Amino acid sequence: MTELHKYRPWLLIAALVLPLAALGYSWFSTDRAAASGVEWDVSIQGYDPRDLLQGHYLQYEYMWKIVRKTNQENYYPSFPLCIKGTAPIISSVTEMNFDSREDDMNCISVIRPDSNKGNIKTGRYYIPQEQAAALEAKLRDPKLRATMRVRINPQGVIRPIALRFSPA
Amino acid sequence: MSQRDLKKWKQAGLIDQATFDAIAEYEAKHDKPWGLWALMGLGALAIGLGLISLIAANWDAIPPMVRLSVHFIALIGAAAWLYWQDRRPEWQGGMFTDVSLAIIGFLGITFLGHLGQVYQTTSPLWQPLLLWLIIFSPLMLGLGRGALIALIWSAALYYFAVDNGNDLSDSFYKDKPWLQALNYSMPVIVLTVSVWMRSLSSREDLWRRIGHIAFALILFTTSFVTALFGISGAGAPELSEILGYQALIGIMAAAVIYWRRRDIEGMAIAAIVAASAVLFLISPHIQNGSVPSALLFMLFWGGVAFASLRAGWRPLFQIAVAVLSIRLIILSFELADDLLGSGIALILSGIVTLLAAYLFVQISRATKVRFNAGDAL
Repeated sequence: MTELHKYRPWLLIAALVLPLAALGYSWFSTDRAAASGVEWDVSIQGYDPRDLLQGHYLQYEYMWKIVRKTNQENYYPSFPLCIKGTAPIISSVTEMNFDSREDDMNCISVIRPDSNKGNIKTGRYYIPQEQAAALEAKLRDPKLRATMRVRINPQGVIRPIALRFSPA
Repeated sequence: MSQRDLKKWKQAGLIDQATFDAIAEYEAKHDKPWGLWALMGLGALAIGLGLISLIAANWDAIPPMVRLSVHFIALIGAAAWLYWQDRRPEWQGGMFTDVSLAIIGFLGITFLGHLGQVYQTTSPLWQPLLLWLIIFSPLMLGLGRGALIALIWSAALYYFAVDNGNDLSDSFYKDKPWLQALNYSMPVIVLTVSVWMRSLSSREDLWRRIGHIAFALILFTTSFVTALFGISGAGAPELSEILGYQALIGIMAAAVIYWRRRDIEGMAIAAIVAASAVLFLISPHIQNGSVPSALLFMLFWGGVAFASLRAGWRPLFQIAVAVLSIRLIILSFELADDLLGSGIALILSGIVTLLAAYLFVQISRATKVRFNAGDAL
């Protein structure tokens, strides 16, 4: 290890630059991925736990009105969903099972469970801590309807953008 | 340094007052400032926790891009400070470097969390941890001096191992039990690396601490695995493949440890790692409940106690005796279904133990073989 000593200043600089460069790149690529996609409005319902690393979030459930090809109730959506409509108003959400052919379906956006770590039923929306209690109360209020504006990108990733409430 | 031993030697006439004073003065001068370092460690921890809470608050009075920029600038500042500090030897007292490293480490992991919060993306914790481990390990392991960094880095690594193991057990690790075993064998691998690095690196204290933490984890998981299979009563053949590979890794690690470090401590470490590997191999096949697993558990910790004596690790020896005692007590409760039978068995084993101790004393007097460390053998 003593032979490395004369390279020490360079090794130190490299060791310091590595995390800075990687984090900077992480910021850049996250920003780019976030900007792409089509925006839709989806109804949601939810509750609020706490994530220590990333802060307060609302955990909510998407109220997809899925046109099912199968006849099962309470079926957990694990097939891709085909979204049609004029953004941001969704006109239909169709489940794409094994028989569906994507090219024939003319979807504006497709939500893929694989791109969303298998979960397209619930989501998380990060909120400032001071607003947490108020938003949670609004979500539980039966007189209000919660709508989440989401962005679905070409890879099928669904990301929440903004939350709004309207009278039910 | 406690002067207990010095006073003892002086009273036995081994050293005179002048030597007593000289030694006491030397130790006082070279004593590490434990109190100061503990204080600094606490300060670093408080800053880290504060950073996490600050990000978690998601303060919307400041626009998100500004918050991220400030965070990134703080990172650059911390890096610059570390570079400046390294160029100046008077700032290189162990704790200063470790505290600065801890702060940049906390800034780094919270930056990843901060990104997720601003851009509304989520991921399981092991993913940002993996990135953190890759980009910060050169700094942590290259500049780190002691316990604080050893703790932070080890915590990140082992939490990553457990979290990704759980998360990916049905996907990435499916049909690859050897890979899952490799993931779960992190403590063993790290221990081996730390033994290797102690002879190579100038910052021996860091690697020693990393080794200690890994070693403690090995003792804990071995006990846990043995106890787990005892409690559930029936063995678990499904797990036995992963545990089998872990046993293999353990044996290889023990061999490497002994190869790198031939002294009595290296032997003791290698022996305990090997014993742990054997236990990982046998435990899933215990089919008959509490007594066999308790026996294995106590044999293992008996081995740990014996190895500690030979290696001169008094704290571990005391812990091993405590663990054995507690396990014995628990066993007596486990066997409460047959109080008469278990009562007789326990009394008999107690008598056998005392007999063994007596025999050992007799044998060692006759052959001059000693039980303790530091004796010529």
